[in-house]
Amino acid sequence: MALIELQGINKSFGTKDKKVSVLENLSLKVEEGEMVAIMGKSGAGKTTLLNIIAAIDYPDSGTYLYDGKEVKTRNTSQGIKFRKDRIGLIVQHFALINDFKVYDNVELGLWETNVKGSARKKRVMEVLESLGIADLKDKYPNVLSGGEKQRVAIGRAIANNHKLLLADEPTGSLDSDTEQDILNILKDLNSKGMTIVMVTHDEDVANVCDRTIFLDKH
Amino acid sequence: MKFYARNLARSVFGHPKVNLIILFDLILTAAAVFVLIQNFYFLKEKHDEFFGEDRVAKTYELYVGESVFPLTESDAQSKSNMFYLGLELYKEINASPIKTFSYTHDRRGMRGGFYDKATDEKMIASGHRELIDWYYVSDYALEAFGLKMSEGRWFNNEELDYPYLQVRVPVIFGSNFASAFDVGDVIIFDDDNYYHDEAVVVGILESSPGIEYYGITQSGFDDAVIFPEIESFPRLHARKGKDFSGYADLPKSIRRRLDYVDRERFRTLTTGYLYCPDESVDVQKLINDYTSKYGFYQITATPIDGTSYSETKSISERNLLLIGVLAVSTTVICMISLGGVLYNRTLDDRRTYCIYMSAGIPLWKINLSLIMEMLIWMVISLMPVIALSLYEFETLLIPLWQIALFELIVMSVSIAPSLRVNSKCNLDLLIRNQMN
Ligand SMILES: Nc1ncnc2c1ncn2[C@@H]1O[C@H](COP(=O)(O)OP(=O)(O)OP(=O)(O)O)[C@@H](O)[C@H]1O
Ligand SMILES: [Mg+2]
Repeated sequence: MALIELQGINKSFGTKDKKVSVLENLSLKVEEGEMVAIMGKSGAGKTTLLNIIAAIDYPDSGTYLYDGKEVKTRNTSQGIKFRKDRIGLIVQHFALINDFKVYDNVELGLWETNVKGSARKKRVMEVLESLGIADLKDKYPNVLSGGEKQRVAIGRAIANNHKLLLADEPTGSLDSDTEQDILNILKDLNSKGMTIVMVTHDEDVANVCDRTIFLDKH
Repeated sequence: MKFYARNLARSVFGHPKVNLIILFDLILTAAAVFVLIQNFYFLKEKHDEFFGEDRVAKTYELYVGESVFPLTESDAQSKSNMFYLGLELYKEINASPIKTFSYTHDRRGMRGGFYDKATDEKMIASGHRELIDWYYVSDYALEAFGLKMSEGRWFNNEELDYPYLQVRVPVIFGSNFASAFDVGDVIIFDDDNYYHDEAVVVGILESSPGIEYYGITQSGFDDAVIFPEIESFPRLHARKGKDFSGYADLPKSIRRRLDYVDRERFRTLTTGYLYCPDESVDVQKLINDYTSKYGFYQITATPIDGTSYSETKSISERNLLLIGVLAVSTTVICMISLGGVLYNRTLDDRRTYCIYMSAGIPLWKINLSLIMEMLIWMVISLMPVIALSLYEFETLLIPLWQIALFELIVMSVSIAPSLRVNSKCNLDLLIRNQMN
């Protein structure tokens, strides 16, 4: 059974008179354990597609199945509930809380889980070490490099060990060396069983993935 | 729990400037409400305490409340602003149908202690061998005591205002002295070495029936020697051989005493008497009308010669309205400022909130954390008011929950825009990096 299955998804923006159709009758499947790239021109609807998968935005029509169950989420708090144990999110601009140290920024991903006390600490350190940023744990984000920041953001997204990791241009604002580091990390996570769907503009990045889905601009 | 602890710490310490404004707004609100409620209670309590009954009377005793109130004896001594305010009040009250007055009474031995042999002989001739009633009286004593002149006149304004400046101090004798003294007689106070002072008889009283109040229970004023308000007699400036014809000639010691009459008038308001021939006048209400202009109400008139009648329902309405308007406008300004500051702070925090939400923290927890933070600020903002109240009055003058309730209302209103903007917090914005 596919982890994600979209059937005939339509999504448009704007008012009735000026409607812009972004996704038209889109169907796709992502199997568990896959690493999939989404490519397409700017405005093709890549972020929109990712938002629908993450239940941040909702399709106008069509069916979205996650792990075989239909996702009927229609508001923010339902979305938060849906994602909580299922989906980790990474964005291009390394969303970190500047008032928190690296350690806390990663631990944040576990606050709403049942991983508590020493198990939580162990898990955070595990994640930090796997990302090679354990020695930065007491630093604040504003002194980190772009690559380091993105690792921290990934750390938070994967701390709860979700099945699915969604990433919108995770390497978009990084230089090519750092981009390679991050890709290696993602590849590594994928090899350990995490399903990854990521948006990219970069052919090289897409090549690392098992499969690429191209979106056409309407 | 971890979320609340960490987020509260972040929020409380993370925006020092903004939070200072929030705290300031809340303190201002608490103070405004404190003043409002405190005054309301204060006025209401005083009102109920003093003006509960219906009364009808002509003469009243004046009374000023506890030491925390204005118009105290020390104001008269130090001549504080309150002193000048009191004099103003004195003039205003006495320009109305009610008159205040006071007197000093002394029963003097040795026939009053006149030094002049001729005067002393006249005393004995008029049947006064030992004790004499010796009075210093203020304005309006004539009317208040119900006295009538049989010869001469009562003290004129000049004599009542500046007794020290008179070349001869005016004196008025009771009817029992009529046989021995005449209007125009000069009484000499002479010590061979130290002083020379003179008084002149300006009037003789008609015999008056015994008066049962003001502490005068015997023969009324028939055996009385009456002077205007002076601190002592012979007058201190009356140094032998000096002729005092004008202010410029007065030595320092006298100039210092020139305000004695003013000080006595001030004291009249706090411990003196009040006379109002028209029994239908609501004396207390009238006094309150004058005092309320200055923001206090503690002068109470207790009838001596009967029962008085008071319609005064709420003495404080006008002041309360004023205080209320001030408190409400302060509160509204604080509410707007607080709402705005908090709204902007929340806009800045939306990115953080989105990150929370991406980590599975629900919106209601984020909002609850904001409310908890505001409660923390509220508790802190009550501290100055509590401290002030304890320091000033050694007690919490009003129930704390009333200020807290008011602050809660202010808070709920000013937090509303922030909660609204939070409810529109969308991860889509974070993903598209449209935050900040
Ligand atoms: N909330 C919205 N309201 C109106 N139009 C929107 C909204 N969100 C997206 N769009 C429009 O939908 C289209 C697809 O946007 P989307 O962000 O999915 O594109 P994208 O493929 O991610 O582009 P990019 O590569 O530039 O990130 C664009 O034309 C965009 O302007
Ligand atoms: Mg995009």
